[in-house]
Amino acid sequence: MYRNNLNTCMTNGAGISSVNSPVIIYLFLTFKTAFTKVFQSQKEENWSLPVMYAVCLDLRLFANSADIQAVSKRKGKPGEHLEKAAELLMGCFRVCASDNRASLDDSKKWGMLNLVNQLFKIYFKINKLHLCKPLVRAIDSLPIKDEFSLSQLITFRYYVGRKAMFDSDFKSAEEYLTFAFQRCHKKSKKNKRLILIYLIPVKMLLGHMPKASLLRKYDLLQFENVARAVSSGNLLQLNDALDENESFFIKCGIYLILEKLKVITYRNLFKKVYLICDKNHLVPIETMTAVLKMMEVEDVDNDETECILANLIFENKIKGYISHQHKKLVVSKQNPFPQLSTVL
Amino acid sequence: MDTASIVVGTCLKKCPQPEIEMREREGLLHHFEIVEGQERLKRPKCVIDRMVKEYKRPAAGQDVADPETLRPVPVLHQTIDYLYSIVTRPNTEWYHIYDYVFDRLRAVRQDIVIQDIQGLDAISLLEKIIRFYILAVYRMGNKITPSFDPTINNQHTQECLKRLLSLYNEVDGPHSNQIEFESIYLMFNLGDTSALLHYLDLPTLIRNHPHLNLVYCASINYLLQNYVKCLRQIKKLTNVLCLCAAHRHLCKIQQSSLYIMSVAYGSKNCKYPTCHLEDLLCFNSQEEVENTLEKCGLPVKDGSVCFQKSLFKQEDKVSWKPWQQLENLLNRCNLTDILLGKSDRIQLPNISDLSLNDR
Repeated sequence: MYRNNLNTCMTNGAGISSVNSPVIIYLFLTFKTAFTKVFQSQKEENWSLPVMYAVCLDLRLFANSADIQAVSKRKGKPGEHLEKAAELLMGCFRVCASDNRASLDDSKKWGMLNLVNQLFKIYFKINKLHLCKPLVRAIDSLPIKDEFSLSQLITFRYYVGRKAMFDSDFKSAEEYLTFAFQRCHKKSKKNKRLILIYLIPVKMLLGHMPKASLLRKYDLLQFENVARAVSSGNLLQLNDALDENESFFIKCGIYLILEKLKVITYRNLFKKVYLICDKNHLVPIETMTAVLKMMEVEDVDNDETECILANLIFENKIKGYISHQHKKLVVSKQNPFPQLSTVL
Repeated sequence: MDTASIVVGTCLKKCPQPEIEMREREGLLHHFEIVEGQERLKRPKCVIDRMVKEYKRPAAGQDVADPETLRPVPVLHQTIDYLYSIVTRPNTEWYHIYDYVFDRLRAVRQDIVIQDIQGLDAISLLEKIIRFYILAVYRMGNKITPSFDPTINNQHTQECLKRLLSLYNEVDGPHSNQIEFESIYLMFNLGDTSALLHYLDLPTLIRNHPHLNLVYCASINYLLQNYVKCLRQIKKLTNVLCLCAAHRHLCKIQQSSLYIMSVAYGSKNCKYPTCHLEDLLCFNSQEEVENTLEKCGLPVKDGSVCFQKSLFKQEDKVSWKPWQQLENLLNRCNLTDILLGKSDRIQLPNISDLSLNDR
């Protein structure tokens, strides 16, 4: 019945892509509030969960289009409708989360993950990532947290992974995103590509460079030069590669993570210098500075080189120490440049 | 919001008449508002021109939206201008001034919110208010007074900055002070991911402004822990407020650098000259370097330090200290002028440069 109502509403008025009257949105919001009430009154049964999924999905899509229109007409603030939608979704979420009495089979708790995923989509869109944390906690504390449908779990971990990435917790980001990527259905190429956009930078930070064939398969050639530059320690090329696809990286929200790749690029560059110096465990700072100058690092001098080296040593990416008096980097005779994946 | 519910103030003085009468009657006048020579009286008289509306917490049963107690935009500007004219009051401790101005500015902000002032008016008011917060936190040093708590001051700053930046985004520009305040925000939140992401979302023309770009690079270098470069970039700044915002990170940068160095230079036979640290980490004097090193547990001998990871301990409470570079600048400027935005403005990029910069 709900579907039919909505369909008529849409065919009479307009499709989701062109909601042109605030009235429709208003009606929809009222309907949604009514639904929450009915939904809450159904004790110890959860047959209406699929209906809730549909209502919530449409609510989000409606709100999204409403925002796009409002902004294009310069009425209202961006994200206003989505925020309103998030409030209503939270209402449903509370009903589901507090359904403690029903037996597991009839529990509305099964609806929680779907709602959380909808909310994630909104929070990521309107840039309110701090709101995600309590949701993640709510799901993590559920006894049934691993028993949701695979597709929902994948969406969930994709977002949690992105959140971890934002918080610079790269190890967990890798774990979540890898789960999402490996379990995602192989025909959902679009989704796999989305996951890769975040998984690739994280993997690169941990020292794993993507293969060209993978980038080609998922149409992510934007990363090709970046990966090549990082693994060869070519800072100049890295800067060019970042500039070249700057808008793509910014749009995906990974530009800052890619900036962090500079640290690894330094490491790879210095490793090359060390190899060229016949693996002598004393490397003059002067030589490193000269190399950085070649890479057109602006106004670089020995002090800055020492600072960069100091950080690499501090983070265990280089084993050794700096002697300021002798202007030398003294590296360990064994394994001076440990594998990156072992040190992070 | 419903247009009918918005009130417009009608109070044309810095302080509503009923409040003047009440505060004079009850002996609640501030030192700054009293007729000279009457300070010791129990019920001194006020100077009407010096009266400024006090901040009152909204409480139940109290009508905050009474138009007669609310000041319209021009009066709010007058109020702020007056407040900033007394910051140079002779023979007065800065913390007295701070307590007074902080409270009265809070009342101004309250009036802005209740009247739902938007657009260019809100922008120009907020800009003035933020300047005070940023400058005050440096001038206060580590004096804690009843109303000064750096954390609270920083919260107010952050709130106002975020509101201001979203207004820049909503209201059609160009906004003549945008570069300055975007720079202040980025510097205030040095190395902070969401501030950096905000920068990346800005229009290219603004993003590529040399001043703002310099602050961005400093912030990225802070994030990458390249402190040498970060401090060098900060040193290049000449805007007083940006430097004030930078100052709050200075001690933290010095501490982290010293910690990293104790690991990286950690060999018993190695020495590092302290005079070199002074220059590298923006200390004011060699004496200050050596004091800091000793507090961190690192041995100093004959003008050199021997870094050792095992000896390093974080300074418990990092005390506030002046920053020579900033002091020199402040001595050359008039405080009122800085607060009113009359000195060292950062120019907006020329529209004719647009084609050059827009990638």
